[in-house]
Amino acid sequence: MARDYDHLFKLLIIGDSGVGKSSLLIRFSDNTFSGSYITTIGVDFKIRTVVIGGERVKLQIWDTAGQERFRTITNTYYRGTHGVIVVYDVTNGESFANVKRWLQEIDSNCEVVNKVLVGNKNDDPQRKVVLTEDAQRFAEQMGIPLYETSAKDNLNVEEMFLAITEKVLRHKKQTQRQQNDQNDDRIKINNTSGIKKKKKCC
Amino acid sequence: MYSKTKPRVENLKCRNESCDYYGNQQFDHYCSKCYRERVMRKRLTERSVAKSKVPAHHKQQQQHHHYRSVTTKTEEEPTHSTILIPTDDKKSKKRNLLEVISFKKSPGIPKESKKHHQHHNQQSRHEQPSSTSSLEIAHLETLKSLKISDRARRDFKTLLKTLDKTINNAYHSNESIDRISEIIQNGYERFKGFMETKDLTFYDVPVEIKEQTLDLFEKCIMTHHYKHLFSPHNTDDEEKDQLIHKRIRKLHWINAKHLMCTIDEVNSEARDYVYTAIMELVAMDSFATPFEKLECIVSCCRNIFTLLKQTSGNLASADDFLPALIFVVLKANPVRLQSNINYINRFSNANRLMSGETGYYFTNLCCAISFIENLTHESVQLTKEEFDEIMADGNIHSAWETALMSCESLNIISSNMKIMKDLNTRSHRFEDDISLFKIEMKEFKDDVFKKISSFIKTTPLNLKPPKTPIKVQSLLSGASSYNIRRSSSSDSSSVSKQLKANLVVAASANSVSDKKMGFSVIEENNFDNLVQNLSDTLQMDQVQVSSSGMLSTSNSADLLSISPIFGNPFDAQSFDESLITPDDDLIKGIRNINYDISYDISPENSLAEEVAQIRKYSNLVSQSHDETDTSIMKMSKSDLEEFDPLIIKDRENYQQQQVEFKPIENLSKSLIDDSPDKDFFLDQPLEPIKNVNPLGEYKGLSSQSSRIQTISCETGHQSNNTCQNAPPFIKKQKNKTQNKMSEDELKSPTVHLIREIYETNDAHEHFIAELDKALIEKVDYIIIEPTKIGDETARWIVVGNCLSKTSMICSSACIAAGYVWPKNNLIFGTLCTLSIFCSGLYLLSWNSDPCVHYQVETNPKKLSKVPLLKDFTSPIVLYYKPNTRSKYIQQILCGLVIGYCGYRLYESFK
Repeated sequence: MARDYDHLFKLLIIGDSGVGKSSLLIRFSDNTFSGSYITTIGVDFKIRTVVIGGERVKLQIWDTAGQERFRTITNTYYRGTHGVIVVYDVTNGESFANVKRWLQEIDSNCEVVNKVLVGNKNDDPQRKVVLTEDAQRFAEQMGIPLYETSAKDNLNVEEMFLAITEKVLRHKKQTQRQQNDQNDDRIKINNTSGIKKKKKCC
Repeated sequence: MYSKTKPRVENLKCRNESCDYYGNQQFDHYCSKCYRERVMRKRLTERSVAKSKVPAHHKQQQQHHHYRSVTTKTEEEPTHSTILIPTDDKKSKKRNLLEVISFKKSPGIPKESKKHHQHHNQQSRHEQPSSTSSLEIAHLETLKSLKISDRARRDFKTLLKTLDKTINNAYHSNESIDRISEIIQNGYERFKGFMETKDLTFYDVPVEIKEQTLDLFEKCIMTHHYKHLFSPHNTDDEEKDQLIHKRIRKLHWINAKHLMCTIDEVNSEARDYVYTAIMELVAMDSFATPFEKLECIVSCCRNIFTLLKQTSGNLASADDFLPALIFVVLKANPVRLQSNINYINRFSNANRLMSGETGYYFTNLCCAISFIENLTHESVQLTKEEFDEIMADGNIHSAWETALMSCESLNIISSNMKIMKDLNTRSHRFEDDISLFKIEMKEFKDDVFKKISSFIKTTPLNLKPPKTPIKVQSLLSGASSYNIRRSSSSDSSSVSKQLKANLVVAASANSVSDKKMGFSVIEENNFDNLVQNLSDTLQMDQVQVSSSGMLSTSNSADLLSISPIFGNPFDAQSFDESLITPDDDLIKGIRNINYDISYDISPENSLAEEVAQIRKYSNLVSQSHDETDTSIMKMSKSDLEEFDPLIIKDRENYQQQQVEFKPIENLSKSLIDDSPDKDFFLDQPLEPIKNVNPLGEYKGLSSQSSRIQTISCETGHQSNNTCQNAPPFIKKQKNKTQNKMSEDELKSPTVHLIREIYETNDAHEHFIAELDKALIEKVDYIIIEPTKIGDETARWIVVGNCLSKTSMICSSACIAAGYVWPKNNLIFGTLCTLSIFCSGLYLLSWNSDPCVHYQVETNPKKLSKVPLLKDFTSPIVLYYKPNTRSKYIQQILCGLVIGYCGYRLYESFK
């Protein structure tokens, strides 16, 4: 029986309050384009199905509260998360400075997770404080891809979400393949034993 | 031990060699029974290793004791399942025994394994009462409504039971809550796997239904085990509940500003949303399953979102949502919050908590709770001093509360105003209606007065001159002789006495002297007394009448009371009836007296009063009447009962319509001729009713008068109705009389009607019974309305006739043939056989049947003579025609044939 998706991923958007996490989310989920559809349940709980490589991937994206005082309690959000989108505001240096703390939090809460760094509000070059070079360097250092987006102008939003989805999907397939290999081995052993048994019987 | 056995590839049977059942992949290739047993054993060995060695069955019993104590503790929750609460001690003992048996049994003996399954059945029956809890019944209903096959349903139940047992075992062996949680989660997974497995019952089911089924599975399990898995005693959930509750209570002063959330505390609409959210959150505790609890949380959070959307005007984000949720939790302070959260965490389907809207909201709620637990002065934008002060003091009234209170009272005022307004309009309407009604009443009153006065004017009361007793006497003597002639069994002298009494009392109504004259004739003391009483009453009334000049209602009632007691009014018909009574006592005659006093019913007196008075009198007189009955007439009790108006059976029961006609025309005519004036009689009661009730009600005039006992002052119709009640034995009597009577001019045909009335399911049987009765009673005509039975009867009779005739003809022909062709044995033999065959058949089937005495009436001329026939559409009419003669002829002929045949045989053999 066909489900309406092949994969279901949970993505988490974290970052300081006011960096535009919700607007990113809304921009991504409320923009309709061919081959996809959106189910809106809650205002900040969005589900969107995208097609990547012929496979339907259902994304549910959890928004989180970014306030400093909630930082300690958000660990419950990380349970079962496949990918994390860390957002900072390019016009706000402090938010970029906090990215390190956010990343630390992710590491302390979940082991293997796909991350992406997003500099939002990249629509007004005059107000831009965090330089792309600095951010890029930091991202490379941490080993995560960087995207500079603008929810307001719909810049790079789509690409960013698709990239993280692809990454998650690739990761999933890799682990699956590993598991399958193990399983294949196991089956082989079983098969041989079965054959052996048969021979015995004969 | 079992785990060491090799996994079998081809063999589908249970891994337990001694077991004949098929194994299942999910049960490690064991059958469900053996698997459970194995699990139990495993657990037990683990336990016995951990603890000192205790005999297995003893331990089991201990478990049960423990369990019972638990159940009694939680008995206060009636909504939840009572799965293992034994209904009585006996049962519980039995259960324990069974458990022990199942436990001791070694899996090596196949016999025992059979027993095992039996035991399983028994136990499942014991578990049946669990479904009594309303919630589980609801779940069962849901299961029924699910669009899955019956087999799937059965599988569902089996899996449910398996998991249920596992949980029970785990619980009884004091496993940690995490272990049970694991078991349940595994159970969900297994069920899910089962549904996904190919070639199993669930494989074809659509995904949505599968999800629903899984939800239902979870619901069933959790409803079942709610009471011992919610806030279990071996955890610190309860203490945590207490702590968080106290904590929230201490933080009551926190308002939206402290949390920097955007809720507008004063806005009434916002307040409504907050209230709804709070309600939902509080309601969470009242549900038994994690699923429903989660639904409450979702509903609560959605309300918050709607609220945020409205107050902030644009889309809300998590930055706004979390503070709002915290605010709601603080204001709601739900009971057993931590227990509920833990319960959901442990036993809800893990996938649900990880993903989806539910998971998101639940996560947020968890965050909110942990925030509240760790709340410091920094969290609420206060300095440490301020925070400590407030926490110590705890007496700050927030703007929120003030606003709430003021709004609350305003709200109440406005709603009350509304109600008052509504009431006001209603009362106005009511008043209008009252005034209208008053006017109508007045109009009605006037109208009634007008009508009555006009009626009084047109029909003034005038007392008629008394009837001349001589005339009546002469009439009566004639009638009595007639009656004596007709009556076969009754004492003629008593009849004459009765008639005289009739006369006397009739006369006494008019003149005292007449009454005295009448008394001289009467000899019996009792009867004398009775008549004395009556005449006294009458006299008194007479005096009243003469003094007042005009009869008041009460007087008329007094007068009337005599006739009611004694039955019919003295009209031509009833008088007639009394006269023709063959064998009745004197009292019956008295019943038929009517006092020919016309009266007007004055409108001032209610009819009820009249009736009451009539009743009183009737009781009084019926007492004396009963005395007379017993002393003089020595009537049988059964007869008395029949005459008792209270015991008279419902006329509805008499569906058999018996109509008897008597040549009464002459008599009634003479009476009517003799009556001085039409106005002389009361309109209704005195009208002789001749027309037969269209329903065909029984009206045997001659024999009915003895039955007439009821109050007759109502209508003439009543007497007619009472006739109805004549029990059938009268008819027998009548038949007797009839047989004795030789005069044909007095004989009227008796008719039995079988109506086609389908009142009950066995109407057809009823018809047959009636027909049989009629046939046995030998009535003159039987009219059968039901076509089926009618046709059958008619056919039966015709065939009988045919057989009879054939037999006779064949017999005659046989004898004739024997004489004409003495040598021709073929013709003779054929005819002889035919004759004997027909006669024999007739003798066997028809001879004893009473219906041979009847023939089907087809002649239209004769049909027209049959009474009451026009009421029917297509009846079958049978008329009485005894066939004794033809029967004898036939039998004699047959005998002759047999004799002759014997002779011929003898000849031929010689």
